[in-house]
Amino acid sequence: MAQRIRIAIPKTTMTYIVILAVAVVGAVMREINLLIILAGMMSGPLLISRAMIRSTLRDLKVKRKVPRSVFLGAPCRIEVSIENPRRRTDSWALVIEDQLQNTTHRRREKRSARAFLPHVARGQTGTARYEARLWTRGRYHLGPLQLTTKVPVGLLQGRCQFLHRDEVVVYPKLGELLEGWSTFSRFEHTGKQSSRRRQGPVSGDFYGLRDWRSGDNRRWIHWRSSAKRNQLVVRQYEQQQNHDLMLLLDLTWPDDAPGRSNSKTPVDDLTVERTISFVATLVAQHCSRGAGQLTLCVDGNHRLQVRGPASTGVMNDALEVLAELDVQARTQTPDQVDAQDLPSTDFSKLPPLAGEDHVIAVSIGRFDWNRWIDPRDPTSSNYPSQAIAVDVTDGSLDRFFHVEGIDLSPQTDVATQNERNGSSPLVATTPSNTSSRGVER
Amino acid sequence: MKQYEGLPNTGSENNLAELSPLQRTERLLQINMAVLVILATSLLAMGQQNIIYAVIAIVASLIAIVVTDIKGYFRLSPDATTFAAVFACVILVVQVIRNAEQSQLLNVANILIYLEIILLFQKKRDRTYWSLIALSLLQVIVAAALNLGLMFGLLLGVYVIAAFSALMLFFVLRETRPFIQHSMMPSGRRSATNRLAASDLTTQGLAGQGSAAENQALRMLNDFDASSWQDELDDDVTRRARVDFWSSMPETTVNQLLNRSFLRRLARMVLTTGVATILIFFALPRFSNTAWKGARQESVATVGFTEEVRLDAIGRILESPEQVMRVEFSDLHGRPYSIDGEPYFRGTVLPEYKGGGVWKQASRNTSTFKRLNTQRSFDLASTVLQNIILQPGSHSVLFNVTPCHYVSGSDTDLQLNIGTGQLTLADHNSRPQGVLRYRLGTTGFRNGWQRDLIPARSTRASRDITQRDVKQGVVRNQNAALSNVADQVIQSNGLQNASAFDKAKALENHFLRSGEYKYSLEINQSRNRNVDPIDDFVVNHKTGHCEYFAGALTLMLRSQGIPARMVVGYKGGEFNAVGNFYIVRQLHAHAWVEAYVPHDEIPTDEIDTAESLPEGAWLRLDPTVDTLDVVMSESRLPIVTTITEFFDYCRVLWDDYVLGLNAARQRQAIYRPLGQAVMKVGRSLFSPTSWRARWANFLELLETLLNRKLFGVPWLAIIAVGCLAMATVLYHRRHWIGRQSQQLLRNIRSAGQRSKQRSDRSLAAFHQLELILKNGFQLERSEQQTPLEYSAAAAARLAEDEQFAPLRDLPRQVAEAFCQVRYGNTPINPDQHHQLLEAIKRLDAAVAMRVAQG
Repeated sequence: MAQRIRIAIPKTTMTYIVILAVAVVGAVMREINLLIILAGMMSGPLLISRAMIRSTLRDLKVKRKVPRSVFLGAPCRIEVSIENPRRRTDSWALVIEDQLQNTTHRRREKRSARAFLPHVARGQTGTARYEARLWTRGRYHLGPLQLTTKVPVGLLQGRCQFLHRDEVVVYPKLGELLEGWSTFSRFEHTGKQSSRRRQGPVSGDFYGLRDWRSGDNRRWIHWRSSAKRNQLVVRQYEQQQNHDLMLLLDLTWPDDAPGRSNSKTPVDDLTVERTISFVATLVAQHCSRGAGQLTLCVDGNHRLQVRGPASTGVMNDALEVLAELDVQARTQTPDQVDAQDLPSTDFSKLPPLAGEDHVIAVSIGRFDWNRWIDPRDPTSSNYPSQAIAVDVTDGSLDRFFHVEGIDLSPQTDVATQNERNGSSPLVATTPSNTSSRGVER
Repeated sequence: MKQYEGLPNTGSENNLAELSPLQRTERLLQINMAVLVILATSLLAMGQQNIIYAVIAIVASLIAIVVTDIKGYFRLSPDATTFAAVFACVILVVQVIRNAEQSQLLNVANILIYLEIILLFQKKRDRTYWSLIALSLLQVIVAAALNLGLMFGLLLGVYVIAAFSALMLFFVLRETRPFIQHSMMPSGRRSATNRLAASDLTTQGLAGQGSAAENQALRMLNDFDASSWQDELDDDVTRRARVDFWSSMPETTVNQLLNRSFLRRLARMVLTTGVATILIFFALPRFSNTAWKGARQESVATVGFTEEVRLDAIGRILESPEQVMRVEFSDLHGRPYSIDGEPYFRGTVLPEYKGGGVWKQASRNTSTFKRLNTQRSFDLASTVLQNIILQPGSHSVLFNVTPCHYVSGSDTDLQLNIGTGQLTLADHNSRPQGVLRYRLGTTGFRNGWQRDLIPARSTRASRDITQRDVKQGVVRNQNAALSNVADQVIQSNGLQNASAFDKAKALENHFLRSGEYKYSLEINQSRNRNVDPIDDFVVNHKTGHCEYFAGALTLMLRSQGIPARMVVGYKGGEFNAVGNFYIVRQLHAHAWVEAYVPHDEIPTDEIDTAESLPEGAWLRLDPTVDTLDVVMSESRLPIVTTITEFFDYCRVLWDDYVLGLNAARQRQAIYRPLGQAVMKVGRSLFSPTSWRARWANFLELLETLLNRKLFGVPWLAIIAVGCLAMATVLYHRRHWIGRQSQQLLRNIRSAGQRSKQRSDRSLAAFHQLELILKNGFQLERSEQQTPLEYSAAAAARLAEDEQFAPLRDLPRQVAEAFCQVRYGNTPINPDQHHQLLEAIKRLDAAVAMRVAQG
């Protein structure tokens, strides 16, 4: 919905206004008729600017086309359509100013974008596009969108704001699992691998088709569809019961000084980003195979669980959860310690673990199983023994995971600004009200 | 703060056609700025009456365009600019000291010119353009205080168009440049500018515009040097707005703002500004009655009535078309009275000659006034009524054909100066406010001719005349040369002992018949200022206007002992034969002479039987040569004369309605008529009297229509039948009229949607194809199939059948048209659409035939 049109005088126009004032004062004081004429001539552009700006911005309708999600650092193309429903007048020189604000990350940085639309004819729709590369994970709100114009001579600026919002989720950046990861995971699983023969993907329920990727089994290729599309496509199956992957990510750490602002995370921001990127890569890799179940349990500023067959839909849900995840300090006061360290009732119950399932537990510091499983539940007792634990504080992540392009420099800028304002962005400021939600698949 | 320095210039693109759209816009702006500087400086030079500044501005602007803007050979650095500005200030100080008597405005004007020329040789940035516009505006303001001529007004109009054009070009450049620059910025530099911007995709977007755009983009990228991008990093737009993402925009986008619509917007702006200026100018209240006369300008002399005469105007005297009065002559029965010749409307009488060409009225203390309605009765048989409507003016005298007298029906209280016969309002100190209507009788006409003899009123008046208006000795002393000429005329005619009447006629004829004198409104500047202007006129140059002739004859009559006085009023006018009235304008202003002739010296044939002229009479003499502007018209082509007259007219309008618009004139010419019009409308709408009058008129009309008959049938009945017939037709055709009206409205509304309809037709063609293929070949489009995939499948299916093989390309064509319209938002042209429809018809016919064949 558009707000009313506001017209302002830009700073550059002040010179013009001052000269006009000189002409008017001279004309009135000395009754110089020629100066009155000159003042009238100088007023003309201001009057017509006001009229043309109103005519240009009146009744415009704006629609924004935004992708639902985008990976961190990837180009996010946003299309803004402006409809001019008027019958008589065109719109000229529209500058579109859009706002993008990260609403979930602790650094709620705000970005602005500009696009230009030279002309929208009467009864027509014009489209402008801009593209952004967003370097912070999370959910971004787009809007309010602002249309400005200085038509026809730039002496006045008209502004009209459209309040409707859209959102885009920026997933963590995907990295590359190195050879070390295979070695590490095999080493961790020595003696635990199932002797049961793995069934092929065709034994599950048909879920859909996807493009063929390097490494896909040729038997998965759906030849008829490939012929029709003139490119290789493979079948995807769900409900693969075997070789499920369970990812547990713990981004909390015990707070030594509860209530004090100088409590520090045991890892830096870059490590946190790399950790989340690592988990996201595991999720994407597992879902790209299209086999087995995926369970992702995270604990940080949110406590959530995503579970479902390894598919694009589940991958999107999992990546969305990871996009909004951040570190969180755990309060260690005596009266809170029990409630915090017990398995959260907000989690859906961890699924029973089969012998061939993979469990990967990633954490800041040592993984505290007592917070995740109920010792009284016999079905979850084999989690610790079957899991591969990755502690990101010991630097082991570098051995089996590599990711490029996570550049925190802009964030550093923001951090500096915030520190100047008195609050360090490196300190979690929302310790207790962690809203938890579960996503069941 | 550094600013972006405009697009880099390699110096190779000198031709406008070779430039990119953005560079072309900037080049146009640079040329426009040069024009603006030339115009502003010319206006200032006109004010200073020093053309050298205009020449300097023209030369400097041309050199700056070539050397600084196009070739880039020479550009003043910021330090050099500062030094030059300081140097200009030093020059200003020196000028102020050396020319202390010169107006400070001129010094300010000079510094503005210097600063502008310095800026012209700078590399043009946004701030430079703004500074040039601001300085030129200041120049025009200063020039407006120095110059009041018509040429200034005309040049000001041209300047305004150039200024608006410059502002619009500057706007286009400023608005589009950041987006285009960002598109063309090298990716490394852009990421340094903004870490979040897209680089590779932007370049792809540009390349997607086609090979020409791609080549252009690559060429421009190669043209950029690192330093210009460094400057752009500090661009104030980027800094202040803190914009993180910029959209990519091809350079050709500029053309969307610089096409024909640019000129339309410019014209609209100029027109709107013109209207706004006129409204502001005339509506803005003035508070004093003295308008600014300019720092150096002398006022323009125009022909017109004045209450005193000064023969000191030099140069061309203009003829003002301003209306003074409307006069209607009628007899006592109200019938129009036609006049032969041009009537003389008497105004001021100027008996006092102060020397030096100055004529003044007699002192009011010595005058005797008499109320007009107390006058003695006149000969009603020879009375002609004169209805006069006098426009507002700044003089107190009322014009009339003399002798005049009171007639019934005139409600204006007037009085007459017994000595001079001058007519004024009863309160002779007051001036007429607004339009004055008065009605008088006159016995000045006999058989349509205006009489030359005006009866003297009283003996006392005659006695006063001998003391005041003769001054024979004074004239002979002060105007000896003129007196000698008068003596020679009298002697040459042998009239030494003749009557005053004969002498006066002889002297009048000396001007009219001798052929030595010429009439001209252009007074030669080379006249001898040490000589009395009238002596100079009679003896030396013998060229002048009516005041010279009248002044000379008056003094010559006095030199011969004949009492005489100059009279100023109006002669003739534009007669309107339809309305039987005269429109008298300022250009009809005239001066003539009245010579006193005693009763016994009046020839008997001049004395009317009805009036014996016992006190003597004033004989009207008009010595002015009747040929208008002989001197000038002889040497000019007719077209030149026409143009000159047109410009004269414009100058008069400019002088009267622009420069001379003071509080009084504004009140009289604008506020009062406007207020009266509003009051009149208000009275007309809300007054019961006016509605009663309308009703009476209506009844009268009805009665007239009833009385008038056509073939024995009253007109009213004919009109009533006609109206009834028309109402019947309208009633019966009401549905048709309604339909036609709706159709007309629909046509108007759909005018803008025709392109959309074309698009819709293209979409419909595809759906029609789908329907045919479904019915004929059971070929149905699945949800996953794109139009192109569907068309490929349809083509394959058609190719299988020999009958339909020639039409196998049709689905692809229709699908492509569909995609072009649906996804490209580009309507197909009518020819293409027609071809598609034809092909679809053929396919439909073939399918129908196949179905019929089973």
